[in-house]
Amino acid sequence: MFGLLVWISYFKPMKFITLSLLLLFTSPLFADIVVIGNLQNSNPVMSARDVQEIYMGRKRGLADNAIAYPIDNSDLRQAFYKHLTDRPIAQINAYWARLKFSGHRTQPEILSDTADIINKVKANKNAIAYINDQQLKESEVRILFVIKDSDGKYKDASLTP
Amino acid sequence: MTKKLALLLIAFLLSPIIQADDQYPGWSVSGFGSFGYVGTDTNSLGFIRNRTQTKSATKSGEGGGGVTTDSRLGIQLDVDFSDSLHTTVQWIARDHAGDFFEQNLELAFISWRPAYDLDIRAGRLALDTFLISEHRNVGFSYPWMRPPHDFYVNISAYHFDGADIAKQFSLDSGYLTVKAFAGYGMNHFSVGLGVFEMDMPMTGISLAYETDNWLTKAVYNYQHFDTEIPNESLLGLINSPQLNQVMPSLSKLAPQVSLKDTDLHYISLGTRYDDAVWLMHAEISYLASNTSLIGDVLSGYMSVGRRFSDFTFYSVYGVAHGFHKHVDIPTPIVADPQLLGIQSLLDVAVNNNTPKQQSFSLGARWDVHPKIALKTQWVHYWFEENGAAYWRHLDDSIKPSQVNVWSVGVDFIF
Repeated sequence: MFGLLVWISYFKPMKFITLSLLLLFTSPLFADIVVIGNLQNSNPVMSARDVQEIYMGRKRGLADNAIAYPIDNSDLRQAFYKHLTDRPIAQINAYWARLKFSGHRTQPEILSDTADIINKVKANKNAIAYINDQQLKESEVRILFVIKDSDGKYKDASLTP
Repeated sequence: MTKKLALLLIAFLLSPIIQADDQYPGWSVSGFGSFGYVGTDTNSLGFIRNRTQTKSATKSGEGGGGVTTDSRLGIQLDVDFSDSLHTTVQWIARDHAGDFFEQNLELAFISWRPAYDLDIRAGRLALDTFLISEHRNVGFSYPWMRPPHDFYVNISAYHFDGADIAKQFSLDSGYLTVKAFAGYGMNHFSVGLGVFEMDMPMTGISLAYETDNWLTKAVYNYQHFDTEIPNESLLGLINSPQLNQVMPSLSKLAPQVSLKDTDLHYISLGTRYDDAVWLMHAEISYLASNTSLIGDVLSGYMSVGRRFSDFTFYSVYGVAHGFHKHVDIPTPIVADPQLLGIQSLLDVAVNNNTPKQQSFSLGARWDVHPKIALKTQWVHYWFEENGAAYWRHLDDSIKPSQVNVWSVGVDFIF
């Protein structure tokens, strides 16, 4: 990759600067999304379907039949639901408006501060949340599922129990 | 301050069963709203969204509707006392007959989840008769300006006071929810003779099967009228000895203008498909009634929509067909204009309550923001003779056989 950039820069200095800036500024934006749970969470790992069904309100039980407490991360919410459901956030909001305002389900709490999210997960055995992997401390929470970043396109990563 | 006191009071009352955890009690306030304008091309029929409305939309706005028909603002308080104990209160500002505060209190219940797949709720609950009857006030949750008129205008109640129990089963790749409910509905709505304070015990069962893109629901709902429609003036005419002399057997019509101690049975089947691009809704229902004032009604609709980025374009076909048998009103023995007028009035009261209408809609929704949608819809209605039973009859003129209704609006959540 570096050799390619040097080659481009030799012939196209402006393009080299553009590509370098692009790499410099895009790398922190693209990071894995990790779905985390309390260290005592009864699920060793979760599948994409488990995560999707809990966040869409269809499934409420964890492995020990406790009621899951999902938390939304406002910074990653759009990318998270887009990957899990292939729907834009307006459709997710309309979907949850149906469940919430008919009194049938409690919508996941939406938090913006990652420290708050991690503290909630640490405090509640049944809490599930998702954060950027760069903000993860594995000693504090358990990784249940990973959505791998591949140049801005997210892919599921299998975890073994 | 008042909110905090109320929360503390509820928490105190429920303290023996509240989970000792920093996270609880947790609470949130949220809401939804719609503001719209409806216009039609007739002044003799008034367009209503629901029978509970007091105003109707017309060509020149004489029915008082237009803005109020599709406009409403709802606010909801949710309190979690533990992961298994929850309460919800929802109040909606909207055009509704009867007491403005009490009739617009849509939800006020306590929910207990003894297991992850079992819900027990008690208090004021939304009526679960059709696919979207529980969230028909939340315009942001569906593509249209309002739920299909041919189907949803006739549900007489928004809510009931009682309880329901729902059990969820994992079945293949989806979830089956079986729900039973029972309670007492106290709903006010406008009829031609005034405000009907309708008290009705009711019960029912619903089966809903949901997968990623499909939701299919079947419901049976039984309702019984405990109170009478405001028919005193009509009964006064029908039982008048003087009128019975000139209109023989008129008093035999009395049961035809009564609802008390009669029953309604709703049976419905509906399905919704949504794969993020294509959107389809279809429902069919049969209303069985042992009163000739309402009669049996078969209704249904089908809606197909296609999304293009933030835009959704859709069409809807709907139909409502009543099976009320025409009741002959005795003809006066003398052709007196006043007596003929009474005969005509009774004919409207007894024979104009069964719908015979079809409609076709074209519309669009534009999600301008993740929580705001702009909408527009045009609907063309066709009526058979005396078939505009779901409309307000605003004058004595001959009713049109076709009407156009157009509307624009904005739906939002917060």
